[in-house]
Amino acid sequence: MGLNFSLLIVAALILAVFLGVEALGLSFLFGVIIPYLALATFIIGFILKVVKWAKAPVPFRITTTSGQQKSLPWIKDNKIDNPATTSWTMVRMALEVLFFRSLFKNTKAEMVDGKKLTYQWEKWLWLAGLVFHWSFLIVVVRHLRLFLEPVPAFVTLIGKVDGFFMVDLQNFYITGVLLLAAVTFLFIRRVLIPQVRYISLAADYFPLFVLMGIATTGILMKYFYRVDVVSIKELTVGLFSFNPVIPEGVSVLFYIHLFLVCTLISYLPFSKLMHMGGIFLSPTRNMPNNSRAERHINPWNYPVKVHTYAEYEDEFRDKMRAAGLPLDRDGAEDEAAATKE
Amino acid sequence: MLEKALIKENNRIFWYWILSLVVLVGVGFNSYLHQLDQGLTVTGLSRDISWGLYIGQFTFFVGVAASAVMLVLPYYLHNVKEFGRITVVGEFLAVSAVIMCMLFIIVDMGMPMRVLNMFLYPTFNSPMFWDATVLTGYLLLNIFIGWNVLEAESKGVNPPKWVKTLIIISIPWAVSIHTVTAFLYAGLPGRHYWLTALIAPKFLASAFATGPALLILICFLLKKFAGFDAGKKAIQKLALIITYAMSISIFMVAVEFFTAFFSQVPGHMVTLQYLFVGAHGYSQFVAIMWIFVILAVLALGLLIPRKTRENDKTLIIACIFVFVSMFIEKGLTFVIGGLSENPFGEITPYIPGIHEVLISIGIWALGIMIASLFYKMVVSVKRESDFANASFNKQEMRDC
Repeated sequence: MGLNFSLLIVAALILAVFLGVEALGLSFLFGVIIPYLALATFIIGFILKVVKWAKAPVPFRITTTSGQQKSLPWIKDNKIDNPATTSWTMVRMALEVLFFRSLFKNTKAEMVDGKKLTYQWEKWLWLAGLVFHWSFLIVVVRHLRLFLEPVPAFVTLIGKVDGFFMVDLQNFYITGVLLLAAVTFLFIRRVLIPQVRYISLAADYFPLFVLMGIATTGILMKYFYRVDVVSIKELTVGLFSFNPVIPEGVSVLFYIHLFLVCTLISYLPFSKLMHMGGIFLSPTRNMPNNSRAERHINPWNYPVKVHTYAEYEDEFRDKMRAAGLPLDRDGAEDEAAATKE
Repeated sequence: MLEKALIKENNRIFWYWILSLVVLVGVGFNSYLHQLDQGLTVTGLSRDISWGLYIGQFTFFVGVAASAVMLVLPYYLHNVKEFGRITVVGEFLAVSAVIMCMLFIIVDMGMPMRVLNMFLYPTFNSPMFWDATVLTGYLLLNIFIGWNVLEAESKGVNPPKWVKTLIIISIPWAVSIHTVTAFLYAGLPGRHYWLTALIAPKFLASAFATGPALLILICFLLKKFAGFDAGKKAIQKLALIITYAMSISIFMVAVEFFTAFFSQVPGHMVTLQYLFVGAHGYSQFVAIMWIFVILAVLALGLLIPRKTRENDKTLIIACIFVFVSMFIEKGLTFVIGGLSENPFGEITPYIPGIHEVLISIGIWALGIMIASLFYKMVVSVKRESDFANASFNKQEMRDC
């Protein structure tokens, strides 16, 4: 259900651009207005979401841990897996963001021959995830050449390394294909593993289809139906310098590509893709686990009227003494002190 | 399982070792960038000597890679139980060696960026295409086999059934990689030194001497630095294999002399003359060729008598001699010597460029580094499973 629905939506989006640009000539709508709207939605939505999360109170340390906590000096603690200081927390966060460390530890429990319990390292999800995210990052950085003039040296360098190998005599960007392959793998995995399919919703399939659409149109434009990059750069630079122009001769493939990117970025703040910002704000990951070393007091504790035992004893001392109950302070010294004065 | 290769145990020496290898890889890579920028002109290659240090070492390491079969075949087909403990050591040696081979090929390319076209527009009657194909296949086979066998061991279960199928496939495949490599040379009518059907069997024989010799050395290193004991019996079985293979390969080198000098075919004689005594006033390889002869004879002298073969110290020396002598014969002089006399009957000397040497060192360092990381993983898995077996046996004894 979720799968068909998402596929239908993405197909409808592509068809809408195609008809809009080809039949109705709405290139200004798809080339200028929608990108501006999408970018605004992305930036404002992203900020609002982060602000909302940042405002949520997190009074206690609820770090997820998978290592020995820092306690007594002779017990060796695991600094990365159970960080006790902010800097080690940052190390753990960096490893998580850059290498997906928690996913790396993913194992699958299996019974072999019905008697032996084994744990299989689940490498493929981690690997495909890593390939996808890194490829996507490199692809995005490469695209900066279409937005910036002059093109920064590091963008050119990344493009050169990424496009080192050639097919025929044309440079072939490995990350573009890796991106598509990894997304396809993640999709197939979602469909083929029954348990994963059972918990998959439209919100899981939709981003995958949009990403596949973006990668496919990108690859088509680069290798198969070559587009006029100069006029596309005219358009993008126009957008970002707030002098929007619609140059002649831009292929409809580009509009489809652009519209899907707009869809992705405007959808991002409201979807699970927001893990991009959320990872840094997740309380289980961004706090040092130092509850044993430091006392954390709930900042919005209101003053509670309490009646301590000492006060209770003061109030009922005579009665308690008369009943022969044990007293913390029997009050005799107080009386002696009073008579002395 | 991979984390076992990466996790930092209290093992400073190991990580200094890796660090120094990384530095060497960096130096090699730097030289490679230089070569990429300047072209193959930074090497000592020329019109006549178009294959040099790179391709020679490539040929040699294909042999090292193929030699994994000397463990796999006896263990899986003849149930030689002693090898059970070290088959993965052989497989991961093969993986590292194939990676080195591929790198030696890539650095020998003037335009490595066009390598994909070789697979997109295959030339089926070219041994180059088949060599690339069988090497890639062999790499994948050994990664999958080695990994799954080791993973099964770390889980304490039998490897999946399909792995066994891959293992059976990998046996003839190992022979194929070295045969195809030999065909790169043995089919060229202009080069008499190579134009003999003996090349493929000679390659295989020398491979089955050098690979196991390296393996024995690795086993002794693992014993010394990682506390991993391959077992005396396994080492001795390997030593016997080396003895036979080394004898056969030296025999095959020697019979070439008969054919060349009894027939008195000039083309056949000239390379042997050039390599062993010098020809046309050139004698570049004479010294190292005689080192090869001396080392090979000494190696056989240590391997054939039972007493020295069964002594660890002399066995180690013999293995080093086997490895170095065959590296000279196959890795250095076979390729360069075969090209030295051009079709006009002139000798071209060959002196490798400094970057060529540094790139080769970088590739060696990378191969050794990959192997080291694999072996760290192997050793920690073996240690854990030994521990599990020991405690399991204790439990069983108590239950009785």
